[in-house]
Amino acid sequence: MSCVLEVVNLSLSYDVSKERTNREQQWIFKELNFKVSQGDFIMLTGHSGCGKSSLLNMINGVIPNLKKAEVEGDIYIHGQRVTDRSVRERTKSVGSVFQNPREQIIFDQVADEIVFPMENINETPMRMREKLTSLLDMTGLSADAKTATLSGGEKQKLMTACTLGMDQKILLLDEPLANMDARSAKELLELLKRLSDEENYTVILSEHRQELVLPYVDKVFSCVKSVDKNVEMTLEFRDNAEDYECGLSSLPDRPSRETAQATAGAKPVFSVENIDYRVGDRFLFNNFSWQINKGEEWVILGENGCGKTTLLNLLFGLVRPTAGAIVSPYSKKRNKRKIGYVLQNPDYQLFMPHVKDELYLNAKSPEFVERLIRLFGFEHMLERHPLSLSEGQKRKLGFACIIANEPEVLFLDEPTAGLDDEGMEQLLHALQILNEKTDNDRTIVTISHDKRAIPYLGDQFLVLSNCEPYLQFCNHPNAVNIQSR
Amino acid sequence: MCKRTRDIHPILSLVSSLLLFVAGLLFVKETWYWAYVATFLVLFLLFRYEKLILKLSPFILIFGLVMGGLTLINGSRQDALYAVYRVLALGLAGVLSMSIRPIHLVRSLNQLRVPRWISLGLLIVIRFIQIFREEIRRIRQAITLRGIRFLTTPSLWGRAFFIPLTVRMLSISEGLATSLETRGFSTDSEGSSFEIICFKRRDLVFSFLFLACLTFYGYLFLRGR
Amino acid sequence: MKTFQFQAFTVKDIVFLAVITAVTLLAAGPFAPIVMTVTQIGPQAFAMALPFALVTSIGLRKVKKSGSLVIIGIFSGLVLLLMAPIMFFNQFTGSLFSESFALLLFKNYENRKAVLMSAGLFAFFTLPSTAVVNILAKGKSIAEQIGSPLSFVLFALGAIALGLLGAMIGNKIADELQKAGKL
Repeated sequence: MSCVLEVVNLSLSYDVSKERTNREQQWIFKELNFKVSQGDFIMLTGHSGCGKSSLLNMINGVIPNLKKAEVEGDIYIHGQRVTDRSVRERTKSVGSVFQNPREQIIFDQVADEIVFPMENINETPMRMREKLTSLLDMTGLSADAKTATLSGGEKQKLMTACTLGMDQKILLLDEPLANMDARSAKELLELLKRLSDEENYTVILSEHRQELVLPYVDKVFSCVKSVDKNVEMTLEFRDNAEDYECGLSSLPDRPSRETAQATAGAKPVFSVENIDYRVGDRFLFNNFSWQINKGEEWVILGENGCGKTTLLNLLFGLVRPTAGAIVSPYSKKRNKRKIGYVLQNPDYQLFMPHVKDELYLNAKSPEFVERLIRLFGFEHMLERHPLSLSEGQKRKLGFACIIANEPEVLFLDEPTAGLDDEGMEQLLHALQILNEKTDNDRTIVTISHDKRAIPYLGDQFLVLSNCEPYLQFCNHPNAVNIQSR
Repeated sequence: MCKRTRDIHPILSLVSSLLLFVAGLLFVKETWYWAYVATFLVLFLLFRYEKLILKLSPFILIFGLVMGGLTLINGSRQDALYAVYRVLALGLAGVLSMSIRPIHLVRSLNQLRVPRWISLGLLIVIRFIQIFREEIRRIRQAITLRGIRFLTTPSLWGRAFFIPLTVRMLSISEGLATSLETRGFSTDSEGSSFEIICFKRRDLVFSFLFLACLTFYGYLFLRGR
Repeated sequence: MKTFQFQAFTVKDIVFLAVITAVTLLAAGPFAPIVMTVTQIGPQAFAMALPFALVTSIGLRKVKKSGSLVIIGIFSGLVLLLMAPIMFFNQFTGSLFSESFALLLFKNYENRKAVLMSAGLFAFFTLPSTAVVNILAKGKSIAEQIGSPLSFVLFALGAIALGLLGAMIGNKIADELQKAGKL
């Protein structure tokens, strides 16, 4: 197969400040070299903030054209040097699909969104019509569907279709599966595999959830720590994906829990009694009942859009059921403070001027905060603005500042999304410490898609589904498998 | 290819809406104002705007009552009636302008050689009002979750609201800009158009009836001066 | 260096200004019906001043190019055109007068005071165009529109004060985010 992409001595540094005088420049990558052949399907993997997105953004030209950084070395696409070319010029050969499709859609109908890039590259209306038909067939989307009503997975497919319409044969996908359920992710991966195998598309996909992607890819590029102290990462290449072993480094075994309540008898903290909850004409919950007892650890599993976050919001009282009731001692306003709720996106919960202010804002005991600081490695960033941290660090801080309040009940919405194995270990360790403080008597309800973490996050599972029967309770250890049925 | 649609041409809708609003405000003190409103309602019904009229009616009704009520506090009953009439003028104009599908307006503007960055900006604003309504809801929820109350700690509440809102604005706009550029959009290229918005026979009939009605009431207005 | 800066707007600038406009309209949304129908001049500018100034000042701190406020005015005017056509003129001329005034004084947006003036006086500068539109569309004389001179002066001064306050808060938020490397 011919080489479609070649990277020669490529280096990247965000350390472009003028204040750097006596110290050496810090590099994210230094002198990377690799070639990608036509038809390759490559997984780019590595922990959060290691530079996967940066590498993809260097190839499509977003770095340094739209994001400031120092770049050295050369990139060749189809044998042509593109290093100095603009994003628009590179767009002719490289297509990019990013995270958060909801925030990239500008039209209210699927067809308009798909033809938009074709209009930008001056396609004729006839050609646009032909491509639109085939892209709709390929993705299973409907031309007239309203973009606002699409699920997360469908939105990602829509953005992929937009890119495919531009006929670039190199596709770069930056964590396209983030927040997608297993079924949607599988559908997208099958589509990409088909494009790679049958139509010779070259696909480079960055993803944390290796176990999901690995069966589809030919090669794996993994970002690993560099031995050079001035360089953060380097790439390791595996030409055969089957040789690659994904897994967790050193997660502790889940300790067997004996809660105080187990002996004393179950004490319900949330009794969900025959509730209905409707969004428009659609019932998310219909005559749904559930009981959470003190000290229990539940994991809510299920497809995107099936109502997992809504269920947590109902339990907290952020939204009210259409019918039925949720009985809980935490329904009272003064008791709400005893619930900690970690949102999926930390950007909503961080607002103080320094990391330390954020941690101590609602903290119960300074000792516990100090322990969290050590555990998460915040010692050297206490005076920094929380928003200046990397995405992974922000997520950990968002989690830490909620549990610093030592809540009696903890709701966690996708706490490990976007965290590398090390970050996940720290998070699970923090939960363990929190639990030890109350003889495992803390109630925790977690939403997760992350198969790495699910076994450690709870021992009872609630599986929600869009189809009937929409609900299953399970405390079998293999419950995780139900999710991908 | 010309788009087959039952909607009135977007530019025609916009101009008619403007005329209707201005005329509505001018005619507000005329005794025949109700006839004026009824005439255009019938015209809209002929052109199948019934769903939009039904959708707007509650808003116009509530808003009309509020405005009339507020005027009644300081003014006469007549002034209150005029306030209600002004809301009706707004409602009539709204039926036409709100029937415009943004994408059709954008394509019409492009056909008129309006720079694409203006039409794209318009689309982004319309779409992202909805997105940010949701963002604001989430931010307020996050504030509740951290136990911050406006009444007890207003400055902390302000921080917890505006800092995340600004961060979301920055992050969403950066992601969107990158996505647009990688989808080939640029401020200096014209691009092609998937569909051409044409002026059809239906638009011609609407223009004729609309202008005839407006001219008639304009004549009544001028005769009364 | 105090010079006028006329630079081309990038896609990134346009998108950010459009997003800022969306948030501005959302913030001012509750006041829009009042703005569209109240016949007395002044309350509209007073009601819109704070939210408009706060959000637009953040926009001007990010996109420091001459014409940024006019672009916000065009975008918000175009959207309001779909609801009340008259509002387009109000927004466009308000932004044009305000930006021209600020840039005549300070030349460019490198100076924070230029942002403060431009965003802070936006609502106040919608007053002349509202008056003109009211004369043309509603046949109301200036005297009729002003009603009580005292209340007009109070509303106008209030619009300036609230606008400047909003712009100051916006500048403060922008300062903090700049320090965090986000702006």
